[in-house]
Amino acid sequence: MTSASLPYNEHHQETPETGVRLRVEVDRAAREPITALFVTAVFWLLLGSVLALVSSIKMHMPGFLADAAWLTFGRVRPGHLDTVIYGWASASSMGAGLWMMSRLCRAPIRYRRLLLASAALWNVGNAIGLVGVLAGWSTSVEWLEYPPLAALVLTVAFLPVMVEAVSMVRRRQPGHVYVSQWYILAGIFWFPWLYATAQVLIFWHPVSGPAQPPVNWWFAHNVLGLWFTPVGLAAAYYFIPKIIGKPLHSYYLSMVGFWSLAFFYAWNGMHHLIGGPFPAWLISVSVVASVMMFVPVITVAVNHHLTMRGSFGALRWSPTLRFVVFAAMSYTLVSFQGSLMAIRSLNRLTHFTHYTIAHAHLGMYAFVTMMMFGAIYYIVPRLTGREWPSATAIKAHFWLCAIGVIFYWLELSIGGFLQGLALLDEKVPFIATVKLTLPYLELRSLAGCMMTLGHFIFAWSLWRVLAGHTAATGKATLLAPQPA
Amino acid sequence: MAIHTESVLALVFLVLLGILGSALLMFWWAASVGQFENIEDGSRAVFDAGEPEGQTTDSFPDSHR
Repeated sequence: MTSASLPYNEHHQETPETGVRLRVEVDRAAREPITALFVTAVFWLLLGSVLALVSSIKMHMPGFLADAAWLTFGRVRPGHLDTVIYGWASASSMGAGLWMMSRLCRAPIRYRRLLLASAALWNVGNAIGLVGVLAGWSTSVEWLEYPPLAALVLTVAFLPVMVEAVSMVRRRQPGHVYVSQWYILAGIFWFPWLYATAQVLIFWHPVSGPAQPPVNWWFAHNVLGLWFTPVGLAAAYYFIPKIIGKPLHSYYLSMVGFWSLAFFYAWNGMHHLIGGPFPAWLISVSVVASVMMFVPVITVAVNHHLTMRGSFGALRWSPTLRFVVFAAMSYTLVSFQGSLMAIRSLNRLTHFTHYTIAHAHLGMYAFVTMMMFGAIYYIVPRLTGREWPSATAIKAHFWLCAIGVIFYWLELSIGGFLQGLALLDEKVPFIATVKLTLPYLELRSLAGCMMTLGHFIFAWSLWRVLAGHTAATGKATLLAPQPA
Repeated sequence: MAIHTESVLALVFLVLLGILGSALLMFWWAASVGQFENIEDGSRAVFDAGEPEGQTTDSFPDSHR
């Protein structure tokens, strides 16, 4: 198809009736596989949150649950990390990504049973992985702690997601590929590429020892930037305009953001090895690439802000928008912070401190997790035809998680900064650098309790919807139109 | 060891370039089929006749009971 013949308005022949009928068809086809992914994702979120709390408490109460080997810090902490990364964030990203793709392509999911099998296998992989880690078979490679067998199962489980995404793209109605579709399609291909590469080079056909950390951090950093970030930004680009009823401020800017991410991000990761025994050029490439990330981040932030301008009042009545806008703002913040942390002078201070942990949670929680909460609040009523049980529960969920993660990030950043200063001072004994962090670690457990409580409220709401205890909407969308 | 390490790092970069290669491929396809023409029109792809531009699509559950 040439540019001259490319019709933008692929939906210009739709009537309101056909538009609704198509949405109903898309949501009906998506109901079982996407719901399965969301429900199991929430299960892993709850389990991962409990493991997080146990890990956090152990940091200031080392004797807590210390009698059982499987509950020691070295097992519980990677158990937390991998269950929330693969069990929660990846599964919810797969569900939200496929649903958005189906809606935007106007192509119902074709391989429902295959996707159901994929969701089941994904959970088998996570179960094998978590049991393995708690049993002491962790690989000890950060972000890749699951035993290689679990990784193999996860890789196989992901393949149907790729097949379905390609199928939907091939069946899409003609016209522009929306920016969310670009992000999702790219993320769905980049993630297995990253994961399989890291698995092969570190475990199946291991490269020499000195070469493994670059592979490890190339994966660990890029899985955030080339998997969770694309799906998260796809959700922001879909839900913000959709909810407020306004097109993006600038589609051109959104394209600049996507392509600059696609071309710059893969160079990131080696800045995690600053100070390590690696060629300076290798690390410098990633430092430069990190700073170049200002380009996509600024374009995304400006675009989202200008799209929302004049519509911030919608935050009062839209639960999804609260989560999505909070997540989008967190994306800007975490990306700016990450670019600065890659600069050698600041990295020297923050490396090996709790500052890095705070930064990681700003990315994976305040951005990715809050974005997925928003997506699920929007999608589930459309899949099930049922309303959420309580506005109060949604608000409690939002405020507990939002305040919890902001508090977590702020206080742990301060604690990590002070820890970094102390570690660089040769006059300070090491034990003193540990003790000074204790109040901040205790506050972290408090913040973790708030977020975990929010997760249980969310799970309660989801259970009520799925159990049929809430009002049936009987429509493709449950919502009465609101004034724009 | 040094030579081996360098060859492995080269492999990592090949993989990295694979990601960049896929991005370049997508970019070439997008340009060749006219995805960058009339570019601002693409922003309306989230709307359809049933949920047109100007209509909002989300609210708290109690707000319309």
